[in-house]
Amino acid sequence: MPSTSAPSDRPAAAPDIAAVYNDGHTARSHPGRVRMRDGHLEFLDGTGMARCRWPLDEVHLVARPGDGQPARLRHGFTGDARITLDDEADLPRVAAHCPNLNAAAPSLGRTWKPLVFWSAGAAAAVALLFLVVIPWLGGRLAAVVPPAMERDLGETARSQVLDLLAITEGRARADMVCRSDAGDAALRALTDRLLGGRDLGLTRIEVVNSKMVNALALPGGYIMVMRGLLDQAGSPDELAGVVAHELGHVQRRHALIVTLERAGSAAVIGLLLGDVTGGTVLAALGQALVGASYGREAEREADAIGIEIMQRAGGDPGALALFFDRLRRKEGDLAKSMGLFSTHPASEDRIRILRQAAKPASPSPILPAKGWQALRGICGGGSDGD
Amino acid sequence: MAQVAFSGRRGPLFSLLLRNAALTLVTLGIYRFWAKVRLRRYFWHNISVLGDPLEYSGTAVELLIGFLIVVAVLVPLSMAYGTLGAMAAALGPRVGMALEAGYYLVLFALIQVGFYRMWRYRLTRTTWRGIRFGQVGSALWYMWRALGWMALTILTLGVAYPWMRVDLTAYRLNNTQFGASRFNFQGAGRDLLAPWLWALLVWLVPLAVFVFLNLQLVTDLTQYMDGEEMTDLSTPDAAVVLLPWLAVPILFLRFKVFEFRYVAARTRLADTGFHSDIRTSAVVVAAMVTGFAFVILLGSIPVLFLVVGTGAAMLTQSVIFVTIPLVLFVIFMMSILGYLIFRYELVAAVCRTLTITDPQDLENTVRRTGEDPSFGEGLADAFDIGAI
Repeated sequence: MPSTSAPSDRPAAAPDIAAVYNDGHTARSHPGRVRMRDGHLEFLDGTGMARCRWPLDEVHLVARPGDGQPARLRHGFTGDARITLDDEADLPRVAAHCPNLNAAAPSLGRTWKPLVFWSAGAAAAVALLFLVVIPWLGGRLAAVVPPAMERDLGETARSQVLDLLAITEGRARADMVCRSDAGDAALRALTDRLLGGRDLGLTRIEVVNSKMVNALALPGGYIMVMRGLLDQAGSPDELAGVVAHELGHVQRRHALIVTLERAGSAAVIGLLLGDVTGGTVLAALGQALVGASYGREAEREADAIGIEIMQRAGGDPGALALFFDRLRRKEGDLAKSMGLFSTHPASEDRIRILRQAAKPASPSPILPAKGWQALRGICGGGSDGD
Repeated sequence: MAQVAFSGRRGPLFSLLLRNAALTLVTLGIYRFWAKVRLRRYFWHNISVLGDPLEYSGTAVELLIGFLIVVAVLVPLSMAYGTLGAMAAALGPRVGMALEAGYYLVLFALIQVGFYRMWRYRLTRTTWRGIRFGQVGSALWYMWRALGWMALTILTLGVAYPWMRVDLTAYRLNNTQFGASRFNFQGAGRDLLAPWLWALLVWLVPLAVFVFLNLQLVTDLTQYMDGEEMTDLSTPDAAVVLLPWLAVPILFLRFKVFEFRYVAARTRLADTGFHSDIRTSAVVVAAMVTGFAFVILLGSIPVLFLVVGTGAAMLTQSVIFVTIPLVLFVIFMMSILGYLIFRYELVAAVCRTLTITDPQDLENTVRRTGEDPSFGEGLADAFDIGAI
């Protein structure tokens, strides 16, 4: 408290507070006492000499006391001089006079410049990684992954997709893959016709009992056609267009590349989050999120190959455009489940290109009516979609 | 009153650790820098030497900037290396293995740099009686020394390790300062040889016997390196032969404790000396209790699965809602238990058993002038070294 006069001895003054003073210059500790007067906090050593005089509003706590931590005071936020109270219980008496006792050091004081600079640097490095290095590396790495390893990966992914769909469909895991003698034969006939004796890397194609209107290509040449797609397809050519498109993904190993990119991203994210285990968890999460979309470029590639496959097989590549159009009109329904558009965004561009490739129906249908019926009924019990 | 005292208590430490874990989780890891500062403050401020507590003055923003520097510099470099590796791996398994070995060599070197810089940062943020600690010397020079000693240790099948420890410790301690005074450590590797050989022989002899009994395995491995398929391993006597390995962790802890006492006894700060009476048994018991807690924690996972999941059918299926939260829970609990049991006990035991001879000479120490590093520990954070 400022006062007009400064008497050396005031009878009404509270007793001084026992404390230790370190001046920040030597490691000698000075035992003594603290008193507050004339707007200053003073430390008097054993001889009664004043060792320091700090303005009350510039006195701060080094750290909040408690749990055995000392009640330690500093002057301003720089400098190493300290006053440590002998008894933490005396702190309220100091606090009553020091308005800024609990003020935190300005954490960004002189560090805001390097913080901004290195934040920008780190952000640029991470952006470079995600936008340039990882996509480029994915393609490169895919070239050296042995086919057996890719098939193992695909087998695992297939099993996880079936697990996940079994939960969302509320169906037993064993009933997820649809089979019937006639249906299998029709699917094989359609696939053989599309492949035309070529080996595009297809390992297995199967119909999955899910109401999703979608088809997936997994690493290692696994293609899954969802029952919902069979239900919604208006003609064998529409279905064949989707399968041909997925064959395009298989031939270019898009699924493997995306998986590798995702693994790389998970490793980087793990580093950013600060531990190795965090990356593992994220990788698991990434694997669980099936049906992530490929890039625009990959879709265009798969479209081009799909059109070429359809032309060779004597089908109508334009049928896929009709299918897309019809599905878009019903998009309200589709938004409910993971639809074709969530994994295969159908831009105007894509539909225009498909439409340009359209050609009149060929004399020999891509799948005879009988086979078409058998394939649509492969999951048994007729369609419950629509 | 003890010269060095630790006044920490497990209750407040537990709530601090719990709070740190929760906030780190919620902020996707960003809070970990603030968490570290809080934890260090707790330990530092609860350690008092000659009645005066240490002070930790580092800030989270300094740690954050150190981390950002590493991201900006190190991540692109490691990715470039990965790219190189991906292209070279096509040249055959031997090239791939050489590249991988090179990768671990670089990693080892960077970890040494990270350690040295981390020590320097922490020392400059540690104050006692208003005087800062510090460290001079070169992190790169330390790295080259460590690399050289590592090579020598491998070539001598581990026998050179005590000399490595003494030399690296000497470099570090003789560059460590309190104020303007430097620590001084004089040691000789042969003094640490006996306890080290115990740990080494118990590890090496069973391995040699095992390899001798399984020469077929060695041939298989050589063929595997040449790109052939690996045949099935038949290791019937592995369990019996490698049984002595159970003693290796205890013997290794015994060596570390011996080394600590030795370093304390041979270190001086001006005219002040140090002496430690820390016992192997105290550290081993703390480690075993921690290990036991880990076993209980891991053993409870199946039970937790049943509680959290809605039955056995969920076990293989709900990755997102059951497995990941459980994995995170276990990881955080292991970290918390590690601090609460092992590190707490270690700090307490070290403090309890440390005595200082001629402490009055410390009072003559004056402060050091000069620059301290501005940011800290990015490398150490990236490699997750240095626990507290």
